Amino acid sequence: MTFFETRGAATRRQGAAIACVVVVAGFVSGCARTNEQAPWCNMSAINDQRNLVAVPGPDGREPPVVEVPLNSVSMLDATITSKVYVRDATAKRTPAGTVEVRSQIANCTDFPLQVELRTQFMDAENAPSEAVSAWRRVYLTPRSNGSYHESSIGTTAVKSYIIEVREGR
Amino acid sequence: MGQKSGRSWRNGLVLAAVGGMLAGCAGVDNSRGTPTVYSDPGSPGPVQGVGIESQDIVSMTDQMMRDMLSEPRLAGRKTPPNVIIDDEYFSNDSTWRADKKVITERLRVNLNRAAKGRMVFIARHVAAMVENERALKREGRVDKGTLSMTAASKGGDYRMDGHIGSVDTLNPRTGMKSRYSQISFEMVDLETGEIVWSNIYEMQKSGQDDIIYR
Repeated sequence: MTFFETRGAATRRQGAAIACVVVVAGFVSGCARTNEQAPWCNMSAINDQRNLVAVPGPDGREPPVVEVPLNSVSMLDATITSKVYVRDATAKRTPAGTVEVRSQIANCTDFPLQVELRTQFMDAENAPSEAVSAWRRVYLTPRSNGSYHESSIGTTAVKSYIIEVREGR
Repeated sequence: MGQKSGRSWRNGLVLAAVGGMLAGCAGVDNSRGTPTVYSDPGSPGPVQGVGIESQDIVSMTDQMMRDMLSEPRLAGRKTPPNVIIDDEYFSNDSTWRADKKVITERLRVNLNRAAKGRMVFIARHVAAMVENERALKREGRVDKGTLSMTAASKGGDYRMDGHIGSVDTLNPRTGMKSRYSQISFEMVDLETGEIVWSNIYEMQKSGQDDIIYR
């Protein structure tokens, strides 16, 4: 074999080897995704959804701080930011006129996790309408969903809320 | 050339230092606060065991209060009901040997403040105080005060009863202790005996240390 023929053969063998590795890696990653327990959390996509805004205060002016918008969930604890996914936060009126908020949280890890949540209810001027609720503990088994609910003290004065989450301690 | 480069190097350093100072002024001082003996009653304190602690009492009474205010039969009536909340029928059969009044008092005080007239609270725990003053007024030994006299003090519509129970397990080899605590609350109709509201607060704690509760 000439030098060029040898080089060509080596290149073809290298190309074949790379192609095999790519195919195998594709299969392996596909298998891993298929066999991995649900829920499977795409943390990049979850982080991209986080949207901090400047919530106007009671005086209507824009404050020098950005935070989660009203009627949503605020993660206070950096230790669990990449461990849980807050699915949703909803609110409805109870027959007694108070406001009940509900939220579902997914544990994205393979370990049991405890989180604590509390709710601050706000009035029409974005000021607290009552004292913040006490921390309520939610136990999350691995890869499971947990739910949180809280009721307001006030009735007609309550117009919005912020739910705060931290790791249970 | 050497002098020029030396000067520009020094100027660069000065600019960098000033820029760093300005950046430090504008940023958050992300350091710990000053240590203090005070701690948040709603969070675990520096001494933790398997019993009922401040954060449990705060969380428990807050949950019960909010739940009661969401019950239409208690907080949604046209005529506010007369409610009695005290420790008279709140029994403690658990291994937690502390003052159960801290639970009932916190619940009564916070509920009274939060209800804002949706419920009326009767101080049956100081009934003797009320009867004594009523007797003094009627005997003429004191004047009638500024409020109008009534034929009788208020009767209760609903009264709270409850129970604290626990289940303890202990590993004698390791000293590890686990306690399941259950605190139940009920509101009973004092005319019919009907339970109009009830709720349970439960928790399980495990630990190695032997903490003394008083």
